[in-house]
Amino acid sequence: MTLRTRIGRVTAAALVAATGCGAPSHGEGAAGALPASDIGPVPRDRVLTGGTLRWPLPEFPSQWNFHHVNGMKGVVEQVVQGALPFLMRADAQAVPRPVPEYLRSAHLTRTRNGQTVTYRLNPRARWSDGRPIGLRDFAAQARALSGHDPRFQVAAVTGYRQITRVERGEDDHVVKVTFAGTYADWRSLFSPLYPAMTNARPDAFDTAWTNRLPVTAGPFRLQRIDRTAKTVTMVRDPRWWGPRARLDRIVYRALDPSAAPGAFANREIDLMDVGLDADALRRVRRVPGAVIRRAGGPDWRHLTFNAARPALSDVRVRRAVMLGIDRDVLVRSDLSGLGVPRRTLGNHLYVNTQKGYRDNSAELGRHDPDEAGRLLDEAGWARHGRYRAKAGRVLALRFVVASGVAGGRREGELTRVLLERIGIRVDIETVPADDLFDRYVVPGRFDIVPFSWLGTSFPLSTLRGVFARPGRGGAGQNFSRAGTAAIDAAMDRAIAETDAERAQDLANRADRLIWRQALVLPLYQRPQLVAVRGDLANIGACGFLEPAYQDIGFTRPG
Amino acid sequence: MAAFLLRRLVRGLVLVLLASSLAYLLAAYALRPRAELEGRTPRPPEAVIDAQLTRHNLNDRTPLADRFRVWATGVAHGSFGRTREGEPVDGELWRRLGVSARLLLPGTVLGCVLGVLLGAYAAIRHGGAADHAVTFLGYLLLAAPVFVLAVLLQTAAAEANDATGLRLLTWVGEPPGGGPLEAVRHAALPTATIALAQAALVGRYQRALMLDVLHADYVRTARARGLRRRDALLRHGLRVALVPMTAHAAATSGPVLFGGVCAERVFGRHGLGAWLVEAIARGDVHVAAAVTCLAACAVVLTGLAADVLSGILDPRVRAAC
Repeated sequence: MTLRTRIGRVTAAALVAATGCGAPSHGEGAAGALPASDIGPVPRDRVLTGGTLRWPLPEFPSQWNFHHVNGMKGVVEQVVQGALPFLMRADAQAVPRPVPEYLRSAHLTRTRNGQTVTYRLNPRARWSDGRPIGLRDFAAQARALSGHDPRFQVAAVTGYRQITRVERGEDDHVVKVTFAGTYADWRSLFSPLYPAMTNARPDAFDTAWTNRLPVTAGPFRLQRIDRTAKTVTMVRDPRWWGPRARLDRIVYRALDPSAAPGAFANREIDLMDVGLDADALRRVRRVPGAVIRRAGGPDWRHLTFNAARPALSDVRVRRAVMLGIDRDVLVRSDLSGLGVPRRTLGNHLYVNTQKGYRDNSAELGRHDPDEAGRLLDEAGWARHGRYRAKAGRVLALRFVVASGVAGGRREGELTRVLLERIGIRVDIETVPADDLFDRYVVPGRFDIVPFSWLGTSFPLSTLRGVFARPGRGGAGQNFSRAGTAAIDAAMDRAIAETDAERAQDLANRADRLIWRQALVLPLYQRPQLVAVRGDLANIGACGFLEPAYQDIGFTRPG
Repeated sequence: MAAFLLRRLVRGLVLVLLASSLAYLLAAYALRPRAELEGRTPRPPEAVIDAQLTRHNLNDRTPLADRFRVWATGVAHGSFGRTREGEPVDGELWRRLGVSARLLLPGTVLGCVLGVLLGAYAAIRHGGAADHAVTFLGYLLLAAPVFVLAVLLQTAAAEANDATGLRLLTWVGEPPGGGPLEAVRHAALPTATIALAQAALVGRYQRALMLDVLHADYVRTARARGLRRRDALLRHGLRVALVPMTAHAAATSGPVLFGGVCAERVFGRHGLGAWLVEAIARGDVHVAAAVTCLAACAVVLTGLAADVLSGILDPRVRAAC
């Protein structure tokens, strides 16, 4: 299993469990930090015009409407980023920036009960059918994704639900969008923007983008979708008003991860995601002319504790478990053989390379078995031989891992050894990978479970559901099944804050409260390892960065 | 013979119907498309999840009997329903069948022929150095999974390509357009992989069958009538030893279709085996049922073909009909 892109299923996150194994290779120190992104940057004028980039896809979608329930996938985003308007794109620190070919500027004004965003569009921005990009497209997308019309099979309504009015500004290229209440992540909206003609009617929303891209507005346009070979060919669009695309063409090909190293070694693909697979890394590192680009990715690995279980319902026991686990040991084991620095993650909301990240772990991030023992004594779990017990019950925890995921198994073994030292017995239970979430994690049949959360540039709104107190409609994605009113209030304050700096401060305040509850133990930011042909410029391990597709190209002929 | 085949065909049809219905019921009972939808980040609105499942007849809140009725009516009208993503299953089924056939057929046929020849040769040279060599190679190949074999061949081919600088062999994805030479260069590696794996299996079987007939009376009689050893073994020995082989080949057609999963994946093809595995992982009920149905048809049809073939090869069968 290898890394998926930013948007995907939670279950996918579990399956991308670390698989690095074997002896650690020489020359990789624990010192230093991963760069936020590593794309082999080369100025445009030194990139050659021409060439074909052969880029593998983890799967082959049939629905290319990103906002459709079947279309919201990283692979769809990967393709349409070169062909559809994205008003904002994230930089390496996950800060969204306007894309000048579409958006001149965007300004937020607070109103009495909400906010208004004024978008000044690039007057040259046009769809491939000749229509200008403007008010109609904004209005249609806001209405389709609002969730008010159930006939639209949307993947999510976050943000769009709050839009009350979309109107014309002082001229045709100014659009004003009014929200009910504040929505701090407004920069995530209208990226991508789909044309009004396919957002206006539910049937067009459903079918206009199945196996085709009827309208585009980017440096590349669709040439061909081959449903037998599972390839998508994009070619340079001469009507693009921005800087001309350097590449003649991009050929995307759905390729199983097991096929990628061989295809890369034989130069049939130009780049591949290595994931955390040390064996695949060894294979591609031997390829002449290949370069491995490494950066901190958006996803993060952690242990979730189930606070609804008898033993872990006591916060002192959860803290003791945290103190008893030496995170450095787990991280070293998971990331060995990958040539990346091993840094632990000290935040539940931001990853190390993201703007706003602060290490809030304080004393709970350390390995302190003595303090752990004191906390357990205090909670009434006294040592009887090897293990602690209270009222005749041994302190035993169920560590659930998916079968076939070597990383999870090793994390379990290490946790067992570490916690045995403080008198806690850990029973590792291996379950089928497909059952992990719906049979174990969601119904709460576990004490500790390791998996990865998929990160985004807008972490607060997605992680709200992970740390919010379980409500009436089940626990949602809060798999630790506990929370406090203080955490909820702090998260809500951070989400409602439209000033980015202040929102980060508030988020860190919320994070410190989450640490104190000891519900989720962050382990590390998952690194991204991408093997590329050495002469491939401006693409690679992107981290949060969303690259400009027109700048991708080769620096040497051939 | 015709009446016999007709009887076989009717029995096969009943078998296919039973197998498909059971496959559908099992898939619909065991797979959980709702869990896949609910597990996504961000989680889609509840109403959308329900609407999607209902629209494609996958809603677990509809009684299984009702879902089965809808599915069976569809199949009776020649439609296997839609995938979880709303694509018609039928079109994709034929596309994938073509991909699997292009990938697996040449290797399987080549492997069977090679296996029969090597097996027969080893049996004739029973106990000799050639027999030991064939046996050793056969066991080596049987012990190596197809995946490992493919990766080894790929590594060797990539290094050969680098060493010669000619880029002779390619293998990723469907054959590119271009001349027959291009097609051969692209098909060589996957065909070799499958042929080797198949030859090892068939070779072991054929060797044992051949050993049985080597000392049979009719071979001795043929020799006594003045036939040379080679002619007697080929025309009388091998021919009889091939009869059980046809039945064996028919029985493996289903496994070959599914066993292609590894080969499909590692050579970047998108055939039936990989589709079935993905469908089960994704909770795609109609795909799982359709592929199983196709495999059942393949087993029945190749069984029929094997009956005809053994009729041609074995005079005793012809007499019995």
